[in-house]
Amino acid sequence: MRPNAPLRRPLRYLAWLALAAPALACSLNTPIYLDGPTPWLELQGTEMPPRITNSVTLQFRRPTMAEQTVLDEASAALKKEDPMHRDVRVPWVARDKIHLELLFTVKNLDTGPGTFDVVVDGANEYTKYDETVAAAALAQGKNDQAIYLPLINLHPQLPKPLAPGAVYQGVVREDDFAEAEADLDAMGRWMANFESVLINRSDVNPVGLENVPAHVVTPALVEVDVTLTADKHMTCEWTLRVRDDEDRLWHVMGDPRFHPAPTLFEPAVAPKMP
Amino acid sequence: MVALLSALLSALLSSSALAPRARAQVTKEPEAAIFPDPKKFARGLFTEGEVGAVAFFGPAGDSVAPGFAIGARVGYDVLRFLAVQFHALGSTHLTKAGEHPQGDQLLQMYQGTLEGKLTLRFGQLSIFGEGGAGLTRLSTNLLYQLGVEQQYRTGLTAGGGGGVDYHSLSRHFSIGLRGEYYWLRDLRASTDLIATTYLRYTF
Repeated sequence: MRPNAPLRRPLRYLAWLALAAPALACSLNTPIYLDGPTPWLELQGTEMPPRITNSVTLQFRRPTMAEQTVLDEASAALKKEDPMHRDVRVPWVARDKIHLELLFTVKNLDTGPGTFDVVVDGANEYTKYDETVAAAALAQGKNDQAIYLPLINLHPQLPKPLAPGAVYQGVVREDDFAEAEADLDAMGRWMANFESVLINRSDVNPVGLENVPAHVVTPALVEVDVTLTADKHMTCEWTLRVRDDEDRLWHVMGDPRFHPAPTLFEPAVAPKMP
Repeated sequence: MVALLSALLSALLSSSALAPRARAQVTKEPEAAIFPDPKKFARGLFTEGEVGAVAFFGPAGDSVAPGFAIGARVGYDVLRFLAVQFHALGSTHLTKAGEHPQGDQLLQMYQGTLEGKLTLRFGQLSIFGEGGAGLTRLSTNLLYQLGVEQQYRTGLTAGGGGGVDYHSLSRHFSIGLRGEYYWLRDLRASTDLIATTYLRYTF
């Protein structure tokens, strides 16, 4: 053996590692950006109520036979381990596979300062949540001021005053979406009290999540609804950032699409005392 | 008297005047040793690891900030002055989108090119020029969304550059600096400048 042979081997490994590093990096962080619908959200501030919403529905491919078998087996295993043997289905669009983030820009086009808010609702493959429907249920037909409970809000950062001509850029982060997805699943499939789960962060106060099975696979949102509230002339432009760990977004023309049919969530509200 | 004559005769016979002439004489000055001798540098298959920066110009320059780059080359010295090499480079950047929400997002660009390289050596130091063509790949569709990218995420590139190489005299290792300027066809004919420092190992 030549004297420098022991030195050569690690150097060769390093050389191959250096060559492989860019290829590895390609698969680590490959988000897809989906623009919100055009025209952008725009309010004059004189609307009653001064709210406007638009949506993006994500398109996913249908699971293959093999993937569906894996889902079914996982569902059966969860049902078996559940003390009440409930039907704990494993969603195809799962929160641990699909990661969402919302980037938005609000611009005050008015000549005077105004206040705005941006909130997010949406649907997973089982349940759709519409804060307007929930607010109507809470009001119970009375003319009380509507109380909106969105799936995601950015309080206390928002609502926020905005000077004329000023721009605000914000992010609804992946962990905000993860919390909302857990809340929506708890409300839709596990009979959680919707006010409790929406008002509380589950990592701080898990009230309302008592019925959620221990190892449930939480569904991710398949529809994202963004609502702008403003008391002056403002616009909101937004983009959705999606990380798709296992290539479940639909992007090949020949692949069959996944067509979920979520049920609109209608909250059960206790009658108000007269 | 006889003893004295005998001693004189012995001294005369053993003196240098009567000794046979030596035949292995150095008749000219030895050649000066060449140091460093490039012939002793390793030649053939080589790899390089590099770090540096990538900056964009043109339409992509308006939407992508300069960023850190890391890359590698593997090649072969066909002749002492000519080599062919494959170059892979990845760089990470932040997007610039003004008031649009796509700003300040991380974006990686990967470039893979097949290159030819010409080297002119001056002892321990050499200068080189290189050029080639290949493919680029973006980690996200952000530039597509921003209207910079014409073809979704993958494109063609071609260009070249040069640099200076300093041999370490340890036979296998050398270090150097290089700059390259590449045309990016599918980023609306933007260009990028790659400036790196590298460590080369020749097997």
